Amino acid sequence: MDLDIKTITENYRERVQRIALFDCLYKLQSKKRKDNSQKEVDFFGLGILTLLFFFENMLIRNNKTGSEELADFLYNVNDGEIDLDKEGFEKIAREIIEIFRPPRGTRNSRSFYNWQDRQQQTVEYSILQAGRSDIKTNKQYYKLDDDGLELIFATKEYFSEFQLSISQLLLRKQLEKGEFVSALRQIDEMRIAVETLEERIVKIKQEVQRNILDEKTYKRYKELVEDINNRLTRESDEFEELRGFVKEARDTLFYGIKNEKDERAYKFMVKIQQQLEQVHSFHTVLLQKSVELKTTTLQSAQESLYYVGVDSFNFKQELVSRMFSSPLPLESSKTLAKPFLYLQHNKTWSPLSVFAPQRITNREQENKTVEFMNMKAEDERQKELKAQQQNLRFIGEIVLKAMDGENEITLAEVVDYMAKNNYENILSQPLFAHFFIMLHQKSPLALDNNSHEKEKMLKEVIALLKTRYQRLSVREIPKKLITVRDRFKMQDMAIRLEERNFGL
Amino acid sequence: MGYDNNQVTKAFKIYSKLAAGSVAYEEDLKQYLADDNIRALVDQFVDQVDCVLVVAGDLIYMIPKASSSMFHISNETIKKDYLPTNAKNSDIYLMYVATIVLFGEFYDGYQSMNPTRDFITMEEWLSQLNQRIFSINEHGTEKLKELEKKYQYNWIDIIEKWEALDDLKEHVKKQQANVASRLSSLYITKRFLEKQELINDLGNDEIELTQKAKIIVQRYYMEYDFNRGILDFIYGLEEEREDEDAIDIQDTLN
Repeated sequence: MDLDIKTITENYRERVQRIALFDCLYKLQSKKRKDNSQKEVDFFGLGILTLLFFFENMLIRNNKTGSEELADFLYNVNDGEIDLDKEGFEKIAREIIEIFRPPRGTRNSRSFYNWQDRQQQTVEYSILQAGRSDIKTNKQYYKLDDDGLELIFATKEYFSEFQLSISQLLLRKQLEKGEFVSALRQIDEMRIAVETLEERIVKIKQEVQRNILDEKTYKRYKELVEDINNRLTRESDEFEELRGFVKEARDTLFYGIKNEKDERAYKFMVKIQQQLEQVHSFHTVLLQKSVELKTTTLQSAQESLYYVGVDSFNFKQELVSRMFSSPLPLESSKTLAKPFLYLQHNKTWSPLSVFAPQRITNREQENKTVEFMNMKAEDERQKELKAQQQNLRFIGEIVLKAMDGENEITLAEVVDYMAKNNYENILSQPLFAHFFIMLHQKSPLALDNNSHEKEKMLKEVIALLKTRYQRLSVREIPKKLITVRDRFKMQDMAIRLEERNFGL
Repeated sequence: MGYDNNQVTKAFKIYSKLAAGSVAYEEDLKQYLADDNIRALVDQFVDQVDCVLVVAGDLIYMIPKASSSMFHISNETIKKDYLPTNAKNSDIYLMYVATIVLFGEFYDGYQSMNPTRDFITMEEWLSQLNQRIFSINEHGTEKLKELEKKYQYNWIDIIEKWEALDDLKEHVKKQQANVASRLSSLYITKRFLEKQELINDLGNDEIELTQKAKIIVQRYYMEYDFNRGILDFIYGLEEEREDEDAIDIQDTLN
């Protein structure tokens, strides 16, 4: 036979949610601790007792329940079973509360693989919630949260959805049997159930306004709200019936008062009726709220679906953290940001663009810009070079004059000549030294067109000499240093010019 | 001219479909053709974004009229999606000239309004493009510089690009788009034009023009306003030197 897998896995999440409620108790169970007599402490049991303690306190509307009260209660219940003193129980009470209500502030949660939706999911639950607090005495009181109540109910034989109905049934039976005290208690339980339901509706309302991001979630909430609505309607009908029943019972009692006992019963009945009326009116308000939730809130949530991208999009979580936590490469970030840029429009190539004016890659201009800068520098250099060439030529002319027709002259003679002929200022120029150093370096220097082109610095000097001479050579005169000026000395040298032999 | 709300809405619906997909058909086409008001409206919308509508067979295409239109594919996108890495604008320009020559082959040098051939082989296309570029190159660099300014067309870059390539790479068995050769650059162009639904691959290295291409060529390519004399330039020159070129092409092919 074929099994319908869908039916089997349906409501998988809800089931896990219910199972997860027990996690806290098992967490407690795994705490290994020994009492003073080396016996293991029954944390599991103490956990359940704690839940019942808070539940009972809610029933009797005692809000002042903190870890101290719990410790007292546990100590009293214990009655010697666990070998611990009061202090030990206070410690345990705090530990248990910590398990039920993690002090980090994050809720208890359980991750699981959802076989219905086929994905990893997490359910959260909160067993205890912080109630009032007393700042003066620095005390924090607690009460059971939704899931805590659910857990309590799960330990009984019925589910919370039917809790009110069952309570109503029980109440009726109790009234029939005349168990007025327990009937009153039943009404208290009903009241808590109604209150829980109210909290749930408020929560759902907030969730609806906050969480409806897509059609799927909307549908889920819609179903949820409808369920609640149906349930409340059903309960309301039952209340109506119960009301009639109670009224009848009261009337019957009223007419049947014969003795003190009957009167007491009647008084009880009146009280029951009063309280039931209270719970009932509370419940009716709830029904109205759920109808409102079903109509206006859900509807407006659906309408706001269109604006949801703007309103409830968690920019930080969805974009910023995703971009920076990894961090994403630039390309991926672009993709992530794209939805915020433009609406889609398809890009096509225009076949007309084959004729479109093109940006002409202007080679000349490009080169020019490069050249322009170079030219400036080159220009400067050329100018400078020319000046230096002229300067060197000038020195060359002086040397020629100093030679006075001879073919050889020493540096000492040149310096001497210059000193005598008002060229002293040139002597102190670095260029003067450079001139001879260059000659020395280039020697022997052929004075022809070839070297004229090659020797940039000496260009003009060569031009000066090349008509008459064909070669210039420099010979060092060792061990003879001459003082050109105060600042520098040079080794003496002989400069020799070879005349062109025109005859050959 | 008054339009009723219904017509405006319908026209906008057609426009938005065109904007999203650049093509519309069936019902939209029917409405567009049947209702003058709707047609006028859609045409106006499209005109506002620098596009034109081309009805080809049972399709309407929305085509950008100028490269400034926001619907026009950018050069960067062309490079990224169709050209090899490091492609330059000149690669795109070469593609454009190849496209002009390809279309020209179907229209007998743009003399007739109807195609004079049904398909062209890659080889034929290559040889025609060789011929055109050869003849353009005959102008000489100096003249081409002037012509570049006149037509605002990068003739020199295009020629240089083309000249630098071999017709095909001998050692590569399949002449496809990923090797540097003239033929492979034609394959790149072919792939691009196919994606733009302007040509169809008939297989066996034969290609034909699509209806869309034919309409665009007829409506816009022949207009001087659109082709800016570039066609005249490419084809005008060729007539004078046809014989000479033919010989040269023979040589290059052998």
